[in-house]
Amino acid sequence: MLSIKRIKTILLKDLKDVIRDSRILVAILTPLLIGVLYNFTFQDDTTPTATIAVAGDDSELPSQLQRAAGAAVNIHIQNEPDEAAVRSVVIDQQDADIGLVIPAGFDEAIKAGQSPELTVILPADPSLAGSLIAGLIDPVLRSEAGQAPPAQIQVVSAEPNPADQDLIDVVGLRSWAVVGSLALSVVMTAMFAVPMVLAEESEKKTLDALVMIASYAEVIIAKALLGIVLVAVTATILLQITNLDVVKQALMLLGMLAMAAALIGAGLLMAGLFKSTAQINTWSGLVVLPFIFPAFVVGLPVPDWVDKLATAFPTGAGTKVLLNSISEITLFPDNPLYFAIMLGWGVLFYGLLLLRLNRRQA
Amino acid sequence: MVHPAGMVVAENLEKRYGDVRAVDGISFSVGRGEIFGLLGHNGAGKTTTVRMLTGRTKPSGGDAQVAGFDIVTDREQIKPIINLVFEDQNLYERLSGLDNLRVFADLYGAPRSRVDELLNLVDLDASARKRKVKTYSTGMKQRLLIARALINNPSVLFLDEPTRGLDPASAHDLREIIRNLAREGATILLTTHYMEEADDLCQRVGFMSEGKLVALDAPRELKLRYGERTARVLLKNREEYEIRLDNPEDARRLEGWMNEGEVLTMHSQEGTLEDVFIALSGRKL
Repeated sequence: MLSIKRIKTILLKDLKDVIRDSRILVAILTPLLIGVLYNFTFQDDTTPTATIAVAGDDSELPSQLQRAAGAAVNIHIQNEPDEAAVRSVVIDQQDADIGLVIPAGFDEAIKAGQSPELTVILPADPSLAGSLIAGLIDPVLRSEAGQAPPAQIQVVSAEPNPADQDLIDVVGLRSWAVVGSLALSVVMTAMFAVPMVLAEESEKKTLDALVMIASYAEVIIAKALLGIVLVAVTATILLQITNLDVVKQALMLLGMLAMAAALIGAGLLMAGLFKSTAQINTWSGLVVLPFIFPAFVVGLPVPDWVDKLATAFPTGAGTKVLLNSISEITLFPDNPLYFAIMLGWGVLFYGLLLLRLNRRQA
Repeated sequence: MVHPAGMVVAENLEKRYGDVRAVDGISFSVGRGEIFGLLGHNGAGKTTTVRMLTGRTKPSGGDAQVAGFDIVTDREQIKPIINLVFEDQNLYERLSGLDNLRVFADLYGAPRSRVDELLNLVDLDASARKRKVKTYSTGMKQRLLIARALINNPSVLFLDEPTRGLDPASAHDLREIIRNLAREGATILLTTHYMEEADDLCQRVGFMSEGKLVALDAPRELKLRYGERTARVLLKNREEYEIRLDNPEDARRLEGWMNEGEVLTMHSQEGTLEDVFIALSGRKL
């Protein structure tokens, strides 16, 4: 008969012990720090920004250029005192993509058809945003001057099929990287930290002392719960720091839980296969690689067989669930399949673990 | 329910690892309040025997009961009433001595007051008990192990090399603790390499060799049966001789000295348990 009290005692002991073990702390903190680094390095919004340095009269031209550019480019207006300052900002400091020197009374002169002089300053190698703005100046001014366009232009746009879109374009590079870090965090906790804790118990023979009163099953359950707690804590911290927008929270929670549970099974099995913490330290890098790789591959423009193979891993399937949870649209339409994959791996790992336990007790 | 034969009863107990018979059909019993020693060379089967009796490994054959409970079918009933001082100092080194004991107090359902009581018993002072175990000396760790083994007030206590690493004073104190436990009714099964300790503590000892129990009796009886009976004789000229009492030639020499009035002192010596072991197994410990 399993004792909840004994499981809880072992779990609390492990939590107290784990925070004093530098190997475990490094294993848990590293993915967390990677996620934070990605969060501050990458952006989700990849719309280019153009800075227009403007000197001269208070004109409608900069705001008209913004309207004309629409969502293609974000425009930032930077006011300068004179032409020399504009040249300096655009050419010397390269802090602006394009400069405009607007003479006094410019807007009125345009409306009156007087063709006032406008100085446009561009660097020798202008940015895409700068070139775009430069290209918009003539049609904007013609429109302000009341000139009829040579043709009636009808712009037709539609939302692209998400299945045809690049994953990163849909969710954003930052969000994709943070989700990958979440998966990495689960792998490191489940397949390094947890097996280290169990292997050390076996190596130092504290496990022998525990099973004088507790059962092996109680010890294993406590270690599995330790893994779940550590995953929950690191995931919560990462999500709080990165402020990742989780649209479907229940799906995120279930996905993390299923992935963690399956991988913890692998970790516990590893603890039995590798005889010592030194061996885990040596070989775990190699063992976890096939589990980390799928998390950073699924959904990317890779050959179909690569995506299928990656999805067959619990990390690949789990990452697809996590990505679904941060997107308004369903990026990957097979959530039940992904949960089934994670469950299947879990059954395999825990089944093998049970066999080993029975053999050990014999 | 206690088997009329004793608190620990083994009948033809066997453990095989493939073709190797680690324990080869041993039978013995240990009564309530008795201190029983299991002696033998490395690999004799002592630890395997204790592993079977404490439920950590299943026997390949035979039967055994602890406090009347079968070691295979009634493991869950045995666990709360036994405990073991391990040969390895298997403590949680990153936790304090206090935390180590609290974990096991909670696991066994013992009150927290028992923790302080035991730490006082094994003389681990207030500052030491709060330090991490990795800062402890070998002797301190051994004392903590003993405290842990007593956390559930066990009816049957297994001790595997309990005084290893202890200084003579601490070893003496521990032996007193063991004797007191036995007086209070605990049954104690002790494995040790220290023959003097077994001689001092145990009411009966069993010698194991190559998985078999080759002798079982009170230490004194074994020494009388298997030990070499000698006498140490000091003569007036201050020369000292060891005389084998069973040897006719030595007996004649002694008679001669006595007739000549040459003998100053004479002390008979019984064999040691190590002598007994060598005689039984043909090898040193």
